[in-house]
Amino acid sequence: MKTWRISVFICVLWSSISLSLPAQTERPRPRPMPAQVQPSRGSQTDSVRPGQVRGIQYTAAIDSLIRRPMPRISSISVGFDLAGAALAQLSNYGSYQVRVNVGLRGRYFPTAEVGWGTSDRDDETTGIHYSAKAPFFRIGCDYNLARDLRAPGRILVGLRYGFTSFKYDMSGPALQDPVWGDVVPFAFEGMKGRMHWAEIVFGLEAKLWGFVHAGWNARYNLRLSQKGDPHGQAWYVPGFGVNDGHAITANFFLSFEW
Amino acid sequence: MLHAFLRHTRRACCGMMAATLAVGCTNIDCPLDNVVAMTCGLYQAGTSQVHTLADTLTVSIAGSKDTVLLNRAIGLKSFQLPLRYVTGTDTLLFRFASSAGQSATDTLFVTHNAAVHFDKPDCPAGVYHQIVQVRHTSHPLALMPLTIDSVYVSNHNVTYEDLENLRIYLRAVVEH
Repeated sequence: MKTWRISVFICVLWSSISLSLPAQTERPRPRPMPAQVQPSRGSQTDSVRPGQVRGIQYTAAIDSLIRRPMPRISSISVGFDLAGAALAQLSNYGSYQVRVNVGLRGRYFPTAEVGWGTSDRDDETTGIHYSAKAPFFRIGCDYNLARDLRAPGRILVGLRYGFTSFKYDMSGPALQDPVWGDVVPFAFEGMKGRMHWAEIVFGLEAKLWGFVHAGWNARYNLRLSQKGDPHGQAWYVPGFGVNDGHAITANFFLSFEW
Repeated sequence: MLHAFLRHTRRACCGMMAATLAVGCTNIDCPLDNVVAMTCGLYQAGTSQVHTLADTLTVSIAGSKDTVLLNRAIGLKSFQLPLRYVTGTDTLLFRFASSAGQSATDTLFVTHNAAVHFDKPDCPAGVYHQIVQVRHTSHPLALMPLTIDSVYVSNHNVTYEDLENLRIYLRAVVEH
């Protein structure tokens, strides 16, 4: 619940900042056309009707620029997830991850992501402690939906395949048999787990300045298979999130693109 | 450029907020009682039909005078019995008593493996069992006209799932 509160807080904060900024880049409203001057009878008139041409038309030139083919390798980018790192510091779980992608003609972005997921949680009610730390790997591809491939902003949808092999610990108060009175310790360390999963990604990305880009993405993670200890499955899986069959996660990447 | 990015992000953030609020109110699915119990069903030995207890049944632990797991139950078709938290053989005493004053005791030996099980940090841990073997004794019907005829393990795993683990077949004197 704490994590959801933090994510809601971040969203509210982000929205309030963006809403409070003046919309300077909004397109200026077209000025009203001056009233058409009716030519007096007998005077010379232009062959083009009044009001048909309203300035210099750049449409053809822009279209030709947009349609100009992008180079085969249009960009190389290295990014770092700031949201995951903040969660790792502020909440029970998070991840530090690096993303590398290559732009192919500005449309396709084969992507590899490597990270280190970490979780350390003590539940106040049950007194159970859970911890897991392990690397994770993802590969996939993003597709740029933007019409103008040369624009500094991108609208990305993509797929990922993720994998991790990890160890997790779980411990808590000893269990007392209510009938026979036996006391059974509850402490397991170094339990092994593995998971494969798939992700559907949607995100926005924009050029901030120079080669610095920023963007966020939201992901729907679907568990494909997992292996865990017979005593119980892992609660948090590095790279996947809370292990509940599926998970929704989000990232905020700061990236450097050449 | 920053403002353009923020403008695009503004709408997306509103959508994310809605989605976050929609899925943020998660409920914790923990079992109400974290004591796992073995479910026993009663059946008639001859017909394999469900048997409803007409006489009283008391189940207690061997070696303990005051620990009663089922106290003078009547009219039951099935019941649940807890197993010990440590691996071994539990010895359970089944005492049948009739309204005519007759009574007799059979013994059920349940050998099982016990293991601590956890789901998530929000839920207390429990102990799962795997039934390895079940043995029993029968008393002469002259003492009490109802006894254990046979026991069949229908589900070896004793977990939170409400599944029948033992089928206890009872033999009774058929009155002509």
